[in-house]
Amino acid sequence: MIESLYIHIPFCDHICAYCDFPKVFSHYFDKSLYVKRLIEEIESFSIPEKSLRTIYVGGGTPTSLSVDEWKPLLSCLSRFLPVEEFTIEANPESLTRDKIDLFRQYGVNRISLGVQSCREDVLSAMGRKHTTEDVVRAVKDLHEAGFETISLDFIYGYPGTTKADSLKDIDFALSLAPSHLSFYSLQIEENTLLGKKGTFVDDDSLAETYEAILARLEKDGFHRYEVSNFCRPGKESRHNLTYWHDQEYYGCGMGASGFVSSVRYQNTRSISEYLKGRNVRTKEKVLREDRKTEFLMLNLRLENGFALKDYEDLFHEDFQKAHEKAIQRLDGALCIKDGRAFIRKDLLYIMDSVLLELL
Amino acid sequence: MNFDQDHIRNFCVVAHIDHGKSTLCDRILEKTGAVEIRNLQPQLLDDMSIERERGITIKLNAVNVTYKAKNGETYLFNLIDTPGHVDFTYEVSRSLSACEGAILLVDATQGVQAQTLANGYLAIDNGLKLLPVINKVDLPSADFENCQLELIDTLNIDPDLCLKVSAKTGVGVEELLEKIVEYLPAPHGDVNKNFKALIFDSKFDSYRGVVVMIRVFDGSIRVGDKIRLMSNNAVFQVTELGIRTPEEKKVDSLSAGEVGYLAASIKNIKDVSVGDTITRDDAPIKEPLKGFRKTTPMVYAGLYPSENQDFENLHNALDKLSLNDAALVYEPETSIALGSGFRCGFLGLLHMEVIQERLEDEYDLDLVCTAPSVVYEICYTDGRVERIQNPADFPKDRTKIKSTSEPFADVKVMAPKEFLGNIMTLCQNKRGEFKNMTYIDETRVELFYKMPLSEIVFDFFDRLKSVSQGYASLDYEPLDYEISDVDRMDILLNGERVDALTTIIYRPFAYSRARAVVDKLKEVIPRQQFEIPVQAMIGGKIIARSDIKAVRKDVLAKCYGGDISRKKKLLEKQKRGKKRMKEFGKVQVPQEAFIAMLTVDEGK
Repeated sequence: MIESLYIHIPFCDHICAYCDFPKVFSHYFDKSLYVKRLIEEIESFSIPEKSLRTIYVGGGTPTSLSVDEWKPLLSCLSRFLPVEEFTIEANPESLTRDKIDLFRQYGVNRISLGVQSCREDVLSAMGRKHTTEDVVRAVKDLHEAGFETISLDFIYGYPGTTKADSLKDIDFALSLAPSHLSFYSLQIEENTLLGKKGTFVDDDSLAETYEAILARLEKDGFHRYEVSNFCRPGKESRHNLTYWHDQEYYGCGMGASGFVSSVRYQNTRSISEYLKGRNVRTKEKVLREDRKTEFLMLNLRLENGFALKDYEDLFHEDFQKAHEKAIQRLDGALCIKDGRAFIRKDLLYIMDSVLLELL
Repeated sequence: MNFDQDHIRNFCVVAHIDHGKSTLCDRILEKTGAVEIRNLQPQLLDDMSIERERGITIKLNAVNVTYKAKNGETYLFNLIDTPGHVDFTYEVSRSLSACEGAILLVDATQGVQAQTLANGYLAIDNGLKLLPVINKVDLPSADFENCQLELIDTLNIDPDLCLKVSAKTGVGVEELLEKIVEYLPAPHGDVNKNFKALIFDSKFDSYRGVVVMIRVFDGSIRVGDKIRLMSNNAVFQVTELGIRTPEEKKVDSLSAGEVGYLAASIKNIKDVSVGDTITRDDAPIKEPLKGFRKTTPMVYAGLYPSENQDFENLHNALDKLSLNDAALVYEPETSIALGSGFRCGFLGLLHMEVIQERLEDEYDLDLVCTAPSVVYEICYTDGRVERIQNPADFPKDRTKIKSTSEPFADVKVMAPKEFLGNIMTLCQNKRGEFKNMTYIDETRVELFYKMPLSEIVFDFFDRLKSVSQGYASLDYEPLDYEISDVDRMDILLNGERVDALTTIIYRPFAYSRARAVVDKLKEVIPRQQFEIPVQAMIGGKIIARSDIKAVRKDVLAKCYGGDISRKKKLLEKQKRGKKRMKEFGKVQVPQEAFIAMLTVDEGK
């Protein structure tokens, strides 16, 4: 049974320098038509009512849709309610009070807000169009409207920033009382503005900043449950855990990916094709060995790894027996404890080198 | 169709590298109708992919084509391709011996270069008649008259003979074909004498055994005849004769003047050595053909399978490759670090790379190749003399050594005079001893140096090209051994000596070399979970150290639904890369590290 649905809103009013997600400029396209196509795609899966545990609307910039454009989509999704977690990603400048109220009214219970930095000059270098004031206002509105679960996204390692900037970001974040925080190291992708400029980030200084962030957040009662994700107890993102637990999910929208009946697919990345209702998907059937790679590379991102029994149920082999030599070679880098396998806490930031031993 | 000797022309094309030889050969095949234009892959004679990739000809190859001349008669052309790199001079000499004439090809934009001359002289020495062809005349920078003048000056060639050709566009190729008939000599063997033929190439075929390319000088041979190989008196019965057009075409017999292939159920590849003379067992000749030197490898390196169980596969693959390659020698050896493998001898670095790539591509082997080395000679205090092919065998205890020697070579560099300074500095850094300098004309000089072979065979050629913007050319002739102050330099990774990284170095350069090597290793060995000291040690003393810092970040910041497939592919790629690494203690070392040792630039 598939329990998660991802919906992609590709529109952006401006394009950020680091972004590699499928996206298009919003003012050139018919967003109402896009919502119509989205609804058609969602319906095409014939998802049983009340079968979903999580819904996540990401982007792009979901808040680039207006209240009127949101309504048909939200009412389509309301048939799946209630769900444990219903998240919408938002940009502070376009998360208006009327949208907040609308989301609340349609059962949205979690907002993930793209803050990225508390330094105005850094925000402007990133190509973000909000100010810290917008962030404060949006969070205040969210609290007033009754949202209890708020997540804030930050980027560290941006050119011109230091460890001290990230610590200031944390101060700022904590002043807003979120329940969940994501700190992503800047990742230079080829097809981004930064990539084209040939920007370089130094792994050593990223690691140093990361360690400082980790220490600080743990001191303040935030627990790291995934490489880049931190939360108050019990406030993990359930939807994102679907990915890291290597479970199947529906994905809808231009350029969205999904994992259904052992097939990983990606929708067309062409907005005009998608608007015409011609969604050509690329598909890849995930076979047993590939599935093992996926299972390990995803689950081991989590601080508490995976249950050995889950591995055995999925692959019909004993994890420890099947990886005996590698576990030995890893010499404690992979911990086996209380029926779970996980990467030693201090090695999570170099997890790929551990993972490669296991594959 | 049978041809009398008057209607046969056996010739090759000699040229400097990149002067367009393979393109010209393609054009000749096309114009004689041997290959239809639509079937013509560029540079058809180079049938190994690596040759096409690099645009150089490594293995020689022979093709028979027919040509209807303007005099109304049809001629048989045997076109023998020759290699064009400094590593392969012996192969050139083999193919030359099978010919009466040679097309001397010169690039009209570059003029006469070192190997134009080296190969031109080699052809003259072998009694070949030279037909000068100036190629690439379609290019705007072509200077036909200058090429003519250079050919008069250097090889005393009649300028009226020079043909203007563009192998690329086909201009002048028909005139060339006529000139081949008119000017190049026909073979003049005696069909009635006892059978005498030269093996100039060989190849292993799993159905027919060893297939050899032969040039018949006297007499004739038929299928069913018994032949004898003169170097080892091995006797075989001929099972198949044929020619290549370039497809193989069986024939009943081959006679004086002809070139073709021969199969005789020769199972043991060791029985055939290229350059050998074949005669008939029942009517042998007395003297074998002259002029062939046994090839001597210049560079030795260890080749090891990444997976130990591939040792036998590597052995078989080397057996097969050596059949096509008279210059490749090998014997088993064992390394503490790498397990069982082979110490292999090569003509030079390019030859080594070619063999390594062929083993990996054609035989699907994963290999680790150690730093190459020349053969050093050690004179012990007790009077014993030992030759060392593997640097790890160099004695650690110097007190027992009286002296050490290494092979030297005469080096000739030809270059435009503006690069003189750069080239002389390079030669100096490579321990070159200046001998002489002559002006070829107002713009070009020839430099003569004596240099240790070890300095030449590694990256000297590449370095020379780079300091001369590609204009300089190189030729060298090995000399004897001379006393030289060398010692072994060991490399320690994480405190452990890695025998496969041991090299022999010239002591006065030890410190700068050691520094450069540890820095280079730091660059090519990927960061691992812990810090790794890289140390260079001579005579028990650490003389340079560089530390590879522990990896601190090796994770994808974001991994959500859309990232999964991409991340998985990346991991699989890394996994393949990791498989190709060798583990020393806990340190993983990529294959490049062994070669990188040699290409360090200590001058900087």
